[in-house]
Amino acid sequence: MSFKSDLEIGAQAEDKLLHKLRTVFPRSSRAEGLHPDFDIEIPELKKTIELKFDPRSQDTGNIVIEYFHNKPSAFSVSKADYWVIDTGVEVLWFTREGILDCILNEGMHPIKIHGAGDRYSKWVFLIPLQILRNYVNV
Amino acid sequence: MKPDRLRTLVKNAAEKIYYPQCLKHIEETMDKDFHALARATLIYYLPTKIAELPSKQERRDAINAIPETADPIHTKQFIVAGVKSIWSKRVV
Repeated sequence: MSFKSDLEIGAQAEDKLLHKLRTVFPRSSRAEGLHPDFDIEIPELKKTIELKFDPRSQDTGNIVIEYFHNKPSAFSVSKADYWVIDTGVEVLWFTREGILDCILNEGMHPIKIHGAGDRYSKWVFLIPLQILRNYVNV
Repeated sequence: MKPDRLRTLVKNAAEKIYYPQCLKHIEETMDKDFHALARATLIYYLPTKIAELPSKQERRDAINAIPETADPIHTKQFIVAGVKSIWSKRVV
């Protein structure tokens, strides 16, 4: 899948989440541009969200948590209070600490993947969805 | 670099426990091109080693050895959260 279509699909997932959030928090808004710190802001709560749309997890059984892509990236640099993972069939909410708990307590090890169209390899944790669900903490 | 190699090198660095010594180990054993990757990976191996320290003072000293400005951002915050998480789940 191309970077552009990844972006488009991610934007659709953001729209869906924003629509739900706005029913309770009308000022919820999307971060402008390619914001590295978070995707969605909830001013009423002063909280931010990183949304990860990962429908491929339905086939692979794993959620990809990226932390290095030629430089610290994604999980390493996000300032979001919450990480929301949309698998296409369920939406799971985590704090960053919840995902970190999972990586540490389940003894996860980093692996290297090379996405189509990527110039550099990405270093990620592949976390089985079944395990990650135990760390939902929001 | 292959993941197994990275894991081994970073685990060995984490054995040094005190962050400046961990970085020194990384710098002495790895090519410069991989230092940033190793620093970003160290976050996931160091908490276990710090949590294994026998006394609270030693754990505190190890955490205090991590600069607030360590790269990547959140390094100290992640390691502190990781140590607390591992410590809270320890079997006594």
